Amino acid sequence: MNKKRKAFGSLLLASMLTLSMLSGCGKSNTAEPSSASPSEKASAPATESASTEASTLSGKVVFWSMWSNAEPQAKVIDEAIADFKAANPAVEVEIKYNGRDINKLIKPALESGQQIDIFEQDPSAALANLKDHVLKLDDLLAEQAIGDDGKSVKDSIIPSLIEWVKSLSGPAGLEEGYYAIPQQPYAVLFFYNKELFNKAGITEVPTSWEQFLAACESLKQAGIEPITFDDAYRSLFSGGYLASAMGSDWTDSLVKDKTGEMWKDPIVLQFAKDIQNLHEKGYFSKKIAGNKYPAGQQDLAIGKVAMYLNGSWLPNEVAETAGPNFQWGSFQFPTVPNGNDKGGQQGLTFGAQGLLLNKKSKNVPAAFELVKYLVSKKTQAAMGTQAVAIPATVDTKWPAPLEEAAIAFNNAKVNLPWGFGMENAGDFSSGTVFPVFMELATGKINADQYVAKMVTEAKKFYSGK
Amino acid sequence: MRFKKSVIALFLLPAVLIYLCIFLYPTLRTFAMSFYNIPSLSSKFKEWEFKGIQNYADLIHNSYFVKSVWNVLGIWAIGGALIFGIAFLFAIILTSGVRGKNFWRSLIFLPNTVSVVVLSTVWLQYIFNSNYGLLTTVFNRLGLTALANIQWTDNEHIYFSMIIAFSFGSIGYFMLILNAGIDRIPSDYYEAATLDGASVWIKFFKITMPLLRDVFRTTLVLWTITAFNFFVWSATFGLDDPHTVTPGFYMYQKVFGKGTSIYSGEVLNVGSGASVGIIITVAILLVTMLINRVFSKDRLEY
Repeated sequence: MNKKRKAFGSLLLASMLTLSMLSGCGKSNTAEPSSASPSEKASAPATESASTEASTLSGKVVFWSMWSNAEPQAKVIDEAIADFKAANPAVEVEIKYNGRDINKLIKPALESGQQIDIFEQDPSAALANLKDHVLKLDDLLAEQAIGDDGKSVKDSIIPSLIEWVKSLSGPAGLEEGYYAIPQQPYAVLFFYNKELFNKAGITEVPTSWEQFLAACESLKQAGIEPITFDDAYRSLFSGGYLASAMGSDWTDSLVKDKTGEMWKDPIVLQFAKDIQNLHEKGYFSKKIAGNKYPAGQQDLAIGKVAMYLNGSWLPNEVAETAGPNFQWGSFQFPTVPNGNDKGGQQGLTFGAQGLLLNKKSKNVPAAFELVKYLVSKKTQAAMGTQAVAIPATVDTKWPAPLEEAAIAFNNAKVNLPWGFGMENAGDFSSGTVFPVFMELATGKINADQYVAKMVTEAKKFYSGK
Repeated sequence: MRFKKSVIALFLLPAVLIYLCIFLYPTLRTFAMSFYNIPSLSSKFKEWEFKGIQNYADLIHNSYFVKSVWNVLGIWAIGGALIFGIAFLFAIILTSGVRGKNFWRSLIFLPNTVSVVVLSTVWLQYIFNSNYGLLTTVFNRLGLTALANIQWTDNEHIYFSMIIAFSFGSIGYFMLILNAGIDRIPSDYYEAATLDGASVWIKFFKITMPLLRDVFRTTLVLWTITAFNFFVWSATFGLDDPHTVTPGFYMYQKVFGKGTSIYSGEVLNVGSGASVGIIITVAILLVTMLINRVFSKDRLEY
């Protein structure tokens, strides 16, 4: 008996030690294995200069955030709420930090009639899933923004973002208008290590495919691995090339083509040959075949690899590994020859998280007032400094690691969906498009085999549908 | 003492009611749901659209789902062989009078006490990692560069890597059950066999195996249920990689959506997820029946 208890005690102790060790080291690496989606970074803002007149707002406002309370964004939101409460003492605010679980929790919660006045989500996902619950904000957006001298809320937000949100209403089957207020914008860009680029003697970021190859060659000559990516972001590389050539409407119809004939387009063969070339020349990191998120981005952060195609949340995500002295640079996917003029640098995968209001909210005035604090210039600036996030308000300073991303943002005329359209085919994308791309990128098949395989696989997948 | 049937019924009633509520009702409802197109988990019945067996037909024609079925059958067979082989070995060693039995038993069981998510991350990021992972480091130290250069998590290896990692975490559990079963066998048999000059192997095949048949059948059923519901490892190892996807994880994606956006060609259909659930349930029932047929039920008393 005594012996047994001792054994149990040591087992318990050992397992507790193991657990505490694991949770210790797990911290930087276990976070969200599924951060493949754009809903990665976003957040909210806080405020400043509250309205001077006494607030007449009262009641309770419930805000469900997509951040978890350990993230820097939550701190900024708390500050914004504190400012709001100071200006509106009669309003009670309840904030719930759901983390990314909000994507699963929000719909049942809204449908069961729970009080949620404001919630935070990627607008393209929110409008696809929750279109019966979102409030049209057109009138409210005309209200005056907080702390942005006289501008309306709508005018205080970066124009391309607010127009992008509006463009989502049509495809979602809603009456045209604004249903979300964008904040924490992101863009998909090549992020690179400036120090390594300098070491390789690269003075300008590549804008065309030839320059890109030249940069890869210089890096390789300098003993640096040029490109890496993780399994979670495989779609970006293949989609990036094809959309740069043909635009994302084309890639969208490519992956949804039921006959498979579109894969015979010469541009697909050109793409496959170029990828084969990248592999054969050794421009891809040897680890891409086995990279499990976040192994590849850690390689970038520790200076082993020079480039990584990702969303602009990357510098914040690897900040701990990269350290404060890491010199971040970014550039858009280079332009590809023989395209159809619909691609190039006019298109950019960009988006933002969004603040949405519940259609059934009983306290819209107070809720929107709080939203104004969340997208005020002060809060957005704090997001930039504390969470390395891009501020959504115009004329707000961007965090240093993302300064170059502003160029791409200003170039962008067309918004491309996540994965540049290549992810739009659901099971076909995950089951075939990306795995076969990996076979090509790791040299298991050559360009001709790639084309042949995609034609057959597409026919096979869509037969009977 | 004899009770009237009515009294027995009265005492059984609460248990039966609870069983009906928490098991039978959800099963029947899921079965009904599998014939409908349901836009979300919380959709009201009037939003359901009757599709007949369309959900099932779609699954059969979906190469991604079909792959997931083959994956899970492989996990069941390969993982099963691996787990039961090693669990049996450990159980026999532990019951053979080895010193420090409790310590070894605790040690082997230890991985089971760690959360599955933690365990899978440890394997993925600290054991299989091709930069600083345990395997890479050890093989490099030993000078086996060919082995050290294997990308354990690339398309060719990830499936087996996942099975190995999963089996590591499961051996202890099945070992405990087998261990308890072997402990129950009276030692007289072994003593008598030893006196007759039987070897370890003979004792295992002639005494342990036959007397353990009931326990083994039960663990096999448990294993089938575990394997067919294989989920967390699939999610952490593969995201939605076809090399590691299983019906359980596919069902999760169908019910909760995988990055559904207004651009996506696929619409959320909980009914389709429900049909995957039904297929898994039916498969488990079938395999359990098969197992029960192979290991006949006449009990050996000892």
